Formats: sequence, structure tokens, C-alpha cells
Amino acid sequence: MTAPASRNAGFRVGLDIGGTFTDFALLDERTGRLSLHKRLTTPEDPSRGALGGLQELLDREGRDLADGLAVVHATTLVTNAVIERRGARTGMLVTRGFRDVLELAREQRYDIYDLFLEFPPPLVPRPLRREVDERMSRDGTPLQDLDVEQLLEQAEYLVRDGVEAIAVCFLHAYRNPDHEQRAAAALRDAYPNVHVCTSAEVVPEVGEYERMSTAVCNAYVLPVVDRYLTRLEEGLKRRGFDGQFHLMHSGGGLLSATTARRLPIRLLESGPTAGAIMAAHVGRIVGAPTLVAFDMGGTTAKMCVIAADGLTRAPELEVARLDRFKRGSGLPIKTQVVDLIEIGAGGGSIAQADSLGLLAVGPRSAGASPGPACYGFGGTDATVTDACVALGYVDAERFAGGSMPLDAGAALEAIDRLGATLKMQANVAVGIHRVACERMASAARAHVIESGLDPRAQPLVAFGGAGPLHAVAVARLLGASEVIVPPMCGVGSAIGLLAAGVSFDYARSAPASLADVDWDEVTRNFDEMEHDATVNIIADRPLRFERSLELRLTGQSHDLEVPVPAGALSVEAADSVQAAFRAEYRRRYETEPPAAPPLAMTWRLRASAPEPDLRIVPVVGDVAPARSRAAWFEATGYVESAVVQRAQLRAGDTVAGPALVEESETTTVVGPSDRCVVDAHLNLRIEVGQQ
Amino acid sequence: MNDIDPVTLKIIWSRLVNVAEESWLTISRTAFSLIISESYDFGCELLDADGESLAHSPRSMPVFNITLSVVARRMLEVHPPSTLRDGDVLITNDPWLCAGHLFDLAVVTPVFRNGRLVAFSASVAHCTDIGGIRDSLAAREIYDEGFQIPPMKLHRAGVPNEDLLTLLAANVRVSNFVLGDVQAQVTANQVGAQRLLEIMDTYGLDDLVEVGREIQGRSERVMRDAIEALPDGTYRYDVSCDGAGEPLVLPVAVTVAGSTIHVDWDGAPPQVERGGVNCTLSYITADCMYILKCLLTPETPSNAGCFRPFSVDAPAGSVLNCDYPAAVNMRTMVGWYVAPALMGALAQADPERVQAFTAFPMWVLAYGQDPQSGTFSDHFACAGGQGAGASADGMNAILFPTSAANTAVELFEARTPLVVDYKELRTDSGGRGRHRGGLGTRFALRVLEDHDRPVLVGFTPNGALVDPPAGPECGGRGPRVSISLHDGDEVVADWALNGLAELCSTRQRLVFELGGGSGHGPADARPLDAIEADLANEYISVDGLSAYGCSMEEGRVVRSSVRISSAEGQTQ
Repeated sequence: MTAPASRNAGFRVGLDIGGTFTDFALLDERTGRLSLHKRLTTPEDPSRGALGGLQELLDREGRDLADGLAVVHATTLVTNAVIERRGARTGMLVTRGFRDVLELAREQRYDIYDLFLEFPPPLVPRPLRREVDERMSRDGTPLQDLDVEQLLEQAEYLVRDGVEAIAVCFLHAYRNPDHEQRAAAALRDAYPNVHVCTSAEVVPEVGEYERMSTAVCNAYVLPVVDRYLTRLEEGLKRRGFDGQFHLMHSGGGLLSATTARRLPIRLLESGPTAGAIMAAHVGRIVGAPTLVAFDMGGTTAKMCVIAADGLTRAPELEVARLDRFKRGSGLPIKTQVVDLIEIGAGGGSIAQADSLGLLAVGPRSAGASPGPACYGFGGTDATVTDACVALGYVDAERFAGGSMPLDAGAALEAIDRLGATLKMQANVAVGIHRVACERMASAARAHVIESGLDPRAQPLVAFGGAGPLHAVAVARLLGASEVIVPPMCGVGSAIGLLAAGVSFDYARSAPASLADVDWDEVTRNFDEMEHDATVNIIADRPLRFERSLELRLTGQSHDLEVPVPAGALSVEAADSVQAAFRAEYRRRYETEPPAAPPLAMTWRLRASAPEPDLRIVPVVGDVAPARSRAAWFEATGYVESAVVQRAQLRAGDTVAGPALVEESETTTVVGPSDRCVVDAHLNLRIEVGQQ
Repeated sequence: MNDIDPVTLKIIWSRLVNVAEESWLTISRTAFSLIISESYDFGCELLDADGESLAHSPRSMPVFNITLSVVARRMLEVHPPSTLRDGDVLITNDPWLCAGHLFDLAVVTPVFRNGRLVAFSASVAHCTDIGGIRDSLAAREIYDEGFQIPPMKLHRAGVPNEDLLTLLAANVRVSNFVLGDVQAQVTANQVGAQRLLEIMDTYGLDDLVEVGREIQGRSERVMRDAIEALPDGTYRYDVSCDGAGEPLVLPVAVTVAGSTIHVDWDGAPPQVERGGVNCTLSYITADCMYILKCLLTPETPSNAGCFRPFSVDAPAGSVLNCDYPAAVNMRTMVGWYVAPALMGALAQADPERVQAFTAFPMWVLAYGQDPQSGTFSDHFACAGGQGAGASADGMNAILFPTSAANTAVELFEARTPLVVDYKELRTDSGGRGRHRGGLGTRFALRVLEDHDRPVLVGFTPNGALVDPPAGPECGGRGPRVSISLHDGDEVVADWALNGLAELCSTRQRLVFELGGGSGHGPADARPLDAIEADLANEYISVDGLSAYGCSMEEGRVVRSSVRISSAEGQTQ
């Protein structure tokens, strides 16, 4: 391949390593042609499967990695290291008197009736949380200087104990990081092989427990991520890659490997986040101002509200929950995240009789092994996937494009056994499907309402292996009138990676009465953050900066976020901020804010490079003979339904329900009262009829 | 709709809980007072047309979810269905109906479908002020404690009762916050009513009679099964509490008979004339039922059915069933002891199920003038240690029997001119046992800089005068609560009751030491490796080893020959 030709043939690769599968999407920038690949993840060293699979795809397509312009990567590595406790042995150095902050947490019970509820143990055990003399006051004035000698003595203790990473966590470091920075410098000097991070560099925000919890999680995965990225980058380089290498962060943008090595905690949930970006991209091309992204895979179903101004974000998430639906049962991570919430079970979730003699679905999952009964790997419990087989939604013979035929008989037996336990005459598969859909719809409904939108007015964008199987039923329960199933929705996250732009979120907490804010200092802070972004984010077009302030009324505990003007700020900015605050308060609470003085809490900057233009030309397949099979629907019971191959559908085609639109990774279920139209981008647009 | 199948029932049931949760979110977002928006001292509930509970928000404050039913039934007596109109909203803070003191306001909205009363959408929230005297210890009658609202109409057919609102505003401090919180409750109830009607539309339900019968019936059946698994008999236990300065003994007799439980407090001391530690029967009944539900069917969704097998009685005029107009504001000084009393009694029926004594939390209130930000008044909440169970150590530092959270040190310091010197686990505070009690917290406060005008720090120790109850099966107990003021190295004051310290000088340290949980099982049955781990974690000190009959020899923990004589008298 000659050099000029290779320039013309530039491509980008999206690479999403999930729990079971690693997905690849290769996009030819010139033709817009997208090539997909999927292979099993290699958990012991995920870079091996990633590099091997990438090579398979390149070989298949006759491409050379030297022509790769960019590789964009999402990984479950960080999430899994925390959930499975496979991070590094980690120590903490804390302000004297506060070694127990990590263990005390919020001292709150997350279930009012469970006397014996459990909490995840802290990632750093008490003997590895060492105290040091130093103290800052609330406004960042040193009350006691840092005792560096003592710090090094304590560090020596930790290193002798085999600690690979240290989190330095001092009180009020968000206000003045000087002690933390000096401590980190002394540690790096003395122990160059130990990974060090400080609480204020990870989360420069008030609230010691959440900040320390986040800093400790960050330290815990530092060595793991460092080793992994080194292997992956070397592997790419060996194959001749010299393009840009970026990773998806939980805030929905991309960051460099250098930043990821320093702040690996920002890689949490990077795969599902990429899926939400894909949904937002679909929303843009179909012109939907707001929508709900619905991603259902093997073990969980997640959703995200895409609002008029883009992805909805939250300032915090919880990892490693002991009870997935109970707030407070996990470890809080304070970072800007796309607000993905878990709404229910996945295809592998098990249905059983609960203590009330009623049908419950999940939270126990059959996983990939033994898997649903229909997999024939020895699973005997009825799962959501087994119900889909029994209801005729999944064609047992053509599952996964025919590469993995299912045992329909085993599915029916498992379901019958459950029916006998429940003493139910009716079709238990219907019950499993209904309960699973209702659970997702009810969690989704509450979350959409919380986001200030009407769940009935949002189109549902469905993806993931089990998403299109359940999307129309969930939409009907929500009262939503449209479901959109984008092309190649089975690898939505890998495609989402190609639609994301580089971005980074900065924050500085500085609680002060709005009337007393030092606007010169605020301007300096924003200038510093913007300068830092310009140095760290490589982009061929100018960066976009969005400034905001979180503030509250003095005495309140909930913040509202409002925009802050660009450029040099003076006291006039207080008026604009205050006006925006009043407007937001009225909008959200339908009442005027009381007369208490506003309190400025956290200044935020979001720096982003423009998103790439994503132009995809889907491939249209050959004509196959028309088929049909019986499938169950609420309004009709079992009814003969058309089976349509997705690859044959062209723009403008319509499919009247009842119908099953099949592709290799999933099937879209269209009910008798629904109608499916294929739009110009080959999205399935399903008008959901209310029965 | 006849004969609801299990799947539809499950779906409707989940939706009812979902509706209550949506009401809960509405309040947490629209309320004005910190105690509601940050400490979550409120709850939301749906009740049937008879005022019986159908579902409550998962994060309801315990007790509120049970007393709301008492409130709704009384409302129906005062305002029979024939006198209620769509758009009516009812309100009361009567402690003999609602949650035991005037701060807890119940707002109850009747829900109509086709002109017929089908349900109530209701909430209780702890308002930030209700008027009355600041020094609760000085109160002799409820008239001293604030503004009383008997069951009344807050809205009449959609029109606010301005007379009542004007009176309320005139009788409370920070009235804009209080009225705002009441409005938040009205809004949340309305949201709940609307969603409930949507569910009824979807499933073609004309009323909730059958749904209520089914879900209450199922929860009741599970509860009765759990009770039947307990051996019949009467189980007695006495628990001591601080009272209002004179320690009180609360004797309980729990009778398990078939599928019912009767809790009798015969012999409870007479109501206390001064100090507001008296409990109403409504509050005590809810306290008892809450603990029984925790013990028997914690995983079942809660509704009226769970509580039907229970009855509670206490002598009229006693501290557990006080007569109007007794003072009741500090009722938790006595009422929180229901938990250890019932667990102590039921330990005899099923020692596996109960938990040893959990030490109580404390809210410290700092009040004064901040040179930076003017007048401040903020709470610092912190927890005691949890009691051990039959198969697990107690958790360190957990707020019980409330469902509130602690206060961040950085946030508290940002709002007050105080410095938290340290906040940590109190070593050796967990009661000894095969399973050790959880540790309580200890912390110290001082002023940031010297002041002319003192910072006032108010607190309510609960468990400073009497020892905590020892744990089941020879489990030990933790130390008492202790609050002391230090000037340099010298202790200059300590408190065993409600107190108010004045801090002016940076030399002063106000030191709080909260209790730990009691242990479960004999201490000499605790495995050596667990004791070694406790020592490595500094949950116990080398001195604390003696409580386990252990000592250090050549760097290892060994059992010494001395037997531990009894469960009593852990080193303090």
C-alpha cells in the first residue's frame, strides 16, 4: 500500500471491552463505511483480546494500522477492578484525627427494616490509614504546618507493608492543596516506584468522605491501569499505529492516555457512557430534542436521559453496590458522570418465586455460565432470555446469527417448573416478560420525572443485545409513542466511541457568599483551568469552554448549577449569576426563592473539542425468503408474526406489526398495534400503538 | 376487576411503592428546612379509603409510616367521607395521633375517583420550628412546646385556609421556611394522588378494596407465619434509661400467642412532670411495631397487613402513654429504648434473630455569631455503635433507630467558626462478646479563634446516667456516653443531661464520646484470630484484651487462665 493511498484511506477505530465481548467498529473516514467485529474478552489480560481482535478485523478488511488516524477506547477494567477488589494494595496518609473518615462514611442505613445490612468494606484497611500532623482551616489558612519528616516515616511504614499506591487526603485540601502537593512531591521523591495521588487533584470539592472515597478508588486502580495502558499502547505502536489514542471518560468525552494514567477513576462506566453518546448522536440526526437511551445487555439494563442540551450529567455515582437498587449500599465516586442509571435485569437474570409467593425477576443472574436454560450449558433456572424464546421473540435456531443455536425445550421446561412453584395456570413466560418490563419502566419513569421531563413524551432509543427485544413493551408501559432502533445497535457502544469529542471537566470548590466573591480570583482560577485544558487537549479546532457555578441559598443543602459568563469577571457577574439562579429556582420548584443570601459553592469548567462528523453508510444485504412464526402479544396472545431480516430493509420501507426484525446480535419486537418505518439513516422508527 | 393474578398484582404493588417514592422525591426537592432536605426527617405514604396503609416510600423515617394510619383514621372520624370534597387537604400535628411531638406535621390528602373517596395520599415531615420554649428541659406542658394544630382542613376544595396559615406563621420562628415545607407536603401529596389515579385508570380499578385486601393480606400472612415460628410464651425484659435526670425503668412483657404478638408495658413509671420525655401511646405503638417488623419480616414490602397481628398497651398516665397536656418534645430520650427492650425480651424466644443494644446517635447544635457570615445555627450529627447479632459483629457508627445521615466535617466547619479537632472510632467502646458490638464515635470541638461572644453548643446525651443493656447470651456492654469540657489539660465541666456549653477560647475542647453497641454471646467464645484482627485495627487496645480473658505474650494474643466471671462490668 503506497503512502498517498494510505492517507486517503484513513480510518478510526472504536474499541469497547465489555465483560463478555470486546466490540470493534472501524470507520473509513472517506467512504463512511463501517466494519464491525466482535470477539470474546480475555479477562486475565484484556489488551490481548483487544489487540488480537483488532488484527482480525484489519486482516479481514485488508487494512493496515499505520493508516489508523485514531483509536478510541472504552473499558470495564476500572469498574471491574473495584467491584472484584482486584486493585493494588493501597495506603492513605490523612490529617491527624481523621483516619476513620473512609470507614465512617455517612453513618446511614440504606434500608430502614434490615437490621443486619452490610456495607462494602473500605478499600484501605485501618492499619494502612496513617495520620500526619497538618491542618488547614475552612478558608485554606494553615492552622498547623505539614510535618514532612513524620509524613515520610508513615510512608516508610506503608511501603514496607507492600503498598503500591498511596492516596494523600487532607481536610480542606479543596480550598488549599498546598500541603497535599508538598506531601505528594516528597513521596514521589522518596519512592519513585509508588503511585501517588492527592484528594484535591482527583476531586477539588468540599465534602471529605466523598472526596477521600474517590481519591482512594483512584489510587487503588492507578497501578492496574498504568500497566494495562502501557501494554496496549506498546501493542498498537508495534503494529505501526502512530495516530491519536483516546479513552472514553465517564463524563461522556475523551481523554488522553496521559490523563487516564493520572486520573484512572474517570474511566468508570466508559462503555455504557459510549452507548449513551451513540443514542445522543441518533437523537441529533433524527432531530429529537430529548430522548431516553435504553441499553439492555446480559446482566443489566441501563438508561440515560438525553436532554435538549445533550447528555444529562450527575456529579456523583456509586460503584460496587451490595444491593444494586439501594442508594447508599456502594462506594461513592465524585466525578462528572453521564447520568446512567441501572433500571433492571438483563437477559440472563433469573425469575423465581419470592417470599410472598409472587414472581420476581433478578437480581440474581445466570451470567454466561451456566447461562439461561436455553443455552444448554446446564442452567436450569428460567431467565428473561428463556421467556423471550418461549414467547417466540427469539428464534432458537438463528440466535447470534445462527452461530449458537438455543435449546427451546430446555427453556420451556425451566419455565414450567417455575409455574408449578407459583401454582400459576397462566403462561409464566408472559409473567416473566411483564415483570421485567414493568420493573424497567417503573425505574425509568421515576428517573425521567426526576430529570424534569415527561416520560410519555420521550422517544426510546434501544440498543444492546436485549434492548430491542423489550423496548416496545417498555415504551408502551411508559406511555411513550416512539421507539428508535439504530442500525448495528448490538455494538452501540463501539460506534458511540467514534461520535465522541475530547473533553475534560474541571472543578474548584470555594464556598463564599455571592456578595463577597473575589471575582479577580475567580477569573484567575478559570484562566488557569482553561490554560490547563489548552495544554492537555489536542484538537485541530478551537476548544469550547462552558463555565458554571453551583450555588445554593445560605442554609440550604441542594445546589443549582447556572452558567457563568466568559472572559474577565467583575462584580457585575454576580447579578447575572443571581438572575440565572432565580430563574432556575422558579423553573424547578415552581416558587420564588426565599430572601436568604446566595452562597457560591463550586466553580466548574467543561472544556471540549468539537465532536467529529460521524457519517455512516450502512451496508444493505441480499433478499431472503419471507418467513413467519408465532409470537405472543398482550392484545392478541400468540399470533403469526412476520419475520423480517433487518439487512434487507431500505429507507422508506414499512413493516406492520406483528413482526420480528432480526439481525445477528438482536431482534426488534414490533407488536400488532405498532408500525415500523425505516428512515433515511436506516433507523427503525416504531410508532407504538396503545392497546 | 376480579381475582387479580400474581403478575398484575406484583406490578400494581411495585407501582404503589413507586408513587410513594415520587412523592418523597418531590418533598426532598421542594422543602426549605435542612432537617427535611438534608437529614431526610420525613416520609410519604398511600393509604386506602379506610386509612389503612398500602405502601410507603422506601426511605421513610421509621415511625412516620405507621402513625400516618392513626392520623388518617382519626381524620375520618372528625371529617367523615360525606363531608370531604375533592381538593380538600387535612393537617394535624397532634402528638397523641401523629409522631409524638409537635414538630411532626401530618398532611393528608383524600383522593377521589368518580366522586368517591378511594384513598389518601399523605406525608409527615419534621418542620424546622413549631414555636414554644427553646429549653426543652424546662417544659411542663404541651402549651410550652409550641403551636398545636388539631385535625383541620388546610385546603377546602382546593382553596387554602388562610386563617390557619396566618395563625401558623405568627406562632413559629422562620415562618417562611415552615410554610414552604407545608406547601412541599401539599404538592407531594397531590403528585401521589395524581399518579395513583393513573394506575387505577390503567388497570380499570374503580376502587382499591381488592388490591388493598390482596397486598395487605399477603404481607399479613408472611408476618403471621414469622410469628408462628416463634415459641408461644410471655417474654419479659427491663431496660433503664436516663429520663429527665431521674433514671427510669421500662418493663416490657411481650406475649407471643399463635400468630399474634401483644406488647404490654404494665408497670411503666408515671409520666414525668417536667422535661418533655413523655411518649404518647401512638408514638410508642409505632416504635414497637417498627422494631417487630425489622425483627420478623424485614424483606416484605410494608403496609397495614404487617402490623395487624400486633397490639400494644401501656398504662394510662405513664411515661409511655402520657395524658394530655403532658410535655413530649424530648420523647426519644425514653422512646428509643423500645428497641433494646423488645430485642431483650425476644432474645429469649429466638436469640438468632435479635441484635444486641445499639447505642443512640446525637445531634449537636452550634449557635452564635460568625465573624464571616453572621448568625449561624447548624447541627453536627454522629452515631453510636451497632449491637452485635448472633452471627456478626455490630457495625461501627450507624444511626439507629432513625434513618438519618451524619454531617460532613468540612461542611460543618464551613458554616460555623468551630474546628472539629478529631472525629474517629472510640477504641474499646464495642461491648465484648463472641460477636463484638460496633464502635461508637468520639470527637472534639473548639473555636477557630478566640471570641468575645461565645459560641453556644447544645447537646442531648442519651445514655450518660445509666449503663447500656448488656448483650444476649452473656454479651457485654459498651461504656456510657460522655461529654466533657477541657481547658488545656484540665476537665472543667461534664454533662449527663441536655446541656449548653459556651466556647470562647481556643484552649477549650468540648469532647464527645458516644456509646458502642453491646456484644452477642460469651466473650471467651470469640476466636483468637478475631481478637487479633481487632487489636491490629485498634478496635480494641492492649488493655482491652482483658475483657476477653486475653493478654499479650511475646507479641501474640493468648488466652489467660482467668475466667471472665460475668457479662457485666466491661472496663470503661
